[in-house]
Amino acid sequence: MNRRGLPASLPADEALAVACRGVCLSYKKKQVLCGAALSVPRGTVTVLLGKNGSGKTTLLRCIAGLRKASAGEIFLFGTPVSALSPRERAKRVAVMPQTLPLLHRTVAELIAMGRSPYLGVLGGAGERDRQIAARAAAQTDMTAHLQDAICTLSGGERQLAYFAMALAQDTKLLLLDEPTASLDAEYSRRVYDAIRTLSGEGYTFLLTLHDLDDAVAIADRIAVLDGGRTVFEGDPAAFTASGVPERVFSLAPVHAVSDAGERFTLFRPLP
Amino acid sequence: MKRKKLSLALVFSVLGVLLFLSLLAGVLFGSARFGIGEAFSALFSEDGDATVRLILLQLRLPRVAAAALAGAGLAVSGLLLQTATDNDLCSPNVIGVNSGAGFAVMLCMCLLPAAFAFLPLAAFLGAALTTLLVLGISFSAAGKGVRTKVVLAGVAVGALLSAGISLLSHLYPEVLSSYASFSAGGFADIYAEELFIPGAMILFGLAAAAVLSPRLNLLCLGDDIAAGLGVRVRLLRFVSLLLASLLCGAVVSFAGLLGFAGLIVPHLARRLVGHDVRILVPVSILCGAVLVLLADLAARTLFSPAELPAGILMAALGAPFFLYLLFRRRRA
Repeated sequence: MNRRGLPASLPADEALAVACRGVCLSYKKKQVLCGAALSVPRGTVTVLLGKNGSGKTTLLRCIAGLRKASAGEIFLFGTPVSALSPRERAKRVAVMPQTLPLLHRTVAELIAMGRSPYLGVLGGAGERDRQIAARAAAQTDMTAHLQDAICTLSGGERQLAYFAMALAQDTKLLLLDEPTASLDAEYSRRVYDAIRTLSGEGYTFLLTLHDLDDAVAIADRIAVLDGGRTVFEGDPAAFTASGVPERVFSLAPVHAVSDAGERFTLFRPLP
Repeated sequence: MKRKKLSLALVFSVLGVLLFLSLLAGVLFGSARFGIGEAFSALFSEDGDATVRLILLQLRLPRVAAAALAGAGLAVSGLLLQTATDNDLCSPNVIGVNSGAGFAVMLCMCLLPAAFAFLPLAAFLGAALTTLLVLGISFSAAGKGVRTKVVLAGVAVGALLSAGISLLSHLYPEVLSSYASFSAGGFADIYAEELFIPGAMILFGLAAAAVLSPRLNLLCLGDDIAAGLGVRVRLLRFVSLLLASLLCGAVVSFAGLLGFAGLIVPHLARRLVGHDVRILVPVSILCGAVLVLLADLAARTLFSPAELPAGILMAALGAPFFLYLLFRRRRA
């Protein structure tokens, strides 16, 4: 039963952090999503892949409740997202969009804003809020930058500062839209390391990426959107063998072994 | 940009003292000057001077109350507009809200000359309708670039309303003299009863702005992040703009078209205490009240016994500041 007292038409699976079926959405007469489906098990890292304009960001925004799908169902931890108030939603899912504003605020102030769904009418933060904000700063290695203004940080540090704010929201599910799009190799590695560590601690991540190499390296599960429709869902090994990389991205997997004996997969353009 | 912010306790104490001093100066100085003792005995003892008492109660106290309320109201109105549209150049007079309130007041004076009680309501309606019109135009004209469109639409709507005001003054020349002092803005001839309704509106608006401030703080993060943090972004924006019109309309109804207080004060406050809206609301209230009190004091003492409208001084101060902002922005 959702908040309006209507029975949810699908049995809600509480083992899934996110469950979407048949999600459709049109924007300016163009069908952006038509029949998108996605399951994100708790405690996993799921990567949503797709070409530009395939509907990745739109699906992420629908899951976060920032846009309303015109058809289909979206459940967060077994509850329909449409049945949650904005505040209840903000306590279950944190979103980090691709564009992160430059602000004249310090990192500490930014991270503290992540606590706002939990604060009272006048917005006073308590001891627990301060502890969680400090933990978020430590989890992202931003403790040394707490007094720096956001607008003075490098692109990578800014990304980590907003990541810390999302963590301060203290949700078990985090949606990250292209979290490494503008980062160099070192900062990308720091973001991925943080994601892997936190998923080991029980956090669930759903991220969009455009780099297939990174996706296969970091994901527990991969979903592929093409033209607003889900064309693949499964683990990285199944993705590599599925023929989807060739068909959707015109890329072929190449299996390799590093000098240290580590096996990995890279994607190269089809001849 | 690691500029050290002043300690909050220091800022609040200095502003508190300044407010007290400017209120005191506002009561004591004018075309007739009184000492503190004289004023005190006139107000609180049986054998005080009756004329002094009359001047203080009928003229000076309503006047300083009006100036303080107007300053606080305009400052917070500007702060709300700037925060809700995420545009530092917004203020009641830049986006035409002042002209909307002015037009409504003028219309009310022309059509219902006896209905003084309706002026605050008319000013609020004029301000609110203009805000909605300007926002409607700027949001429907573009998905992106709303920040510039708000100013452009405001200028266009403001020009239209000013033309309307001129038209009314041609059709009803008898209200022209009262409109001339209205448009200059000032606090001459304010009487206490005139302040009750707009005063209540302003106090309500200030309290509501304080309550909204934690959520307004999140709007700077952009709509998606703010909504992700549980803010109903559109509703919040709408309510803030409505409150801004309420404050501006209430002030315009008794103080006329005071220029620039709504633009300058939020910037001044940000320089003092940074960008946290929760702190900016009280600091803007204090700064706004002090600034307008001082402008009014200067207006009636500089060329005493002749009196300038306070609005002229505010504009003389505000215009260079506005230019400074524009140039600083371009350099940034």
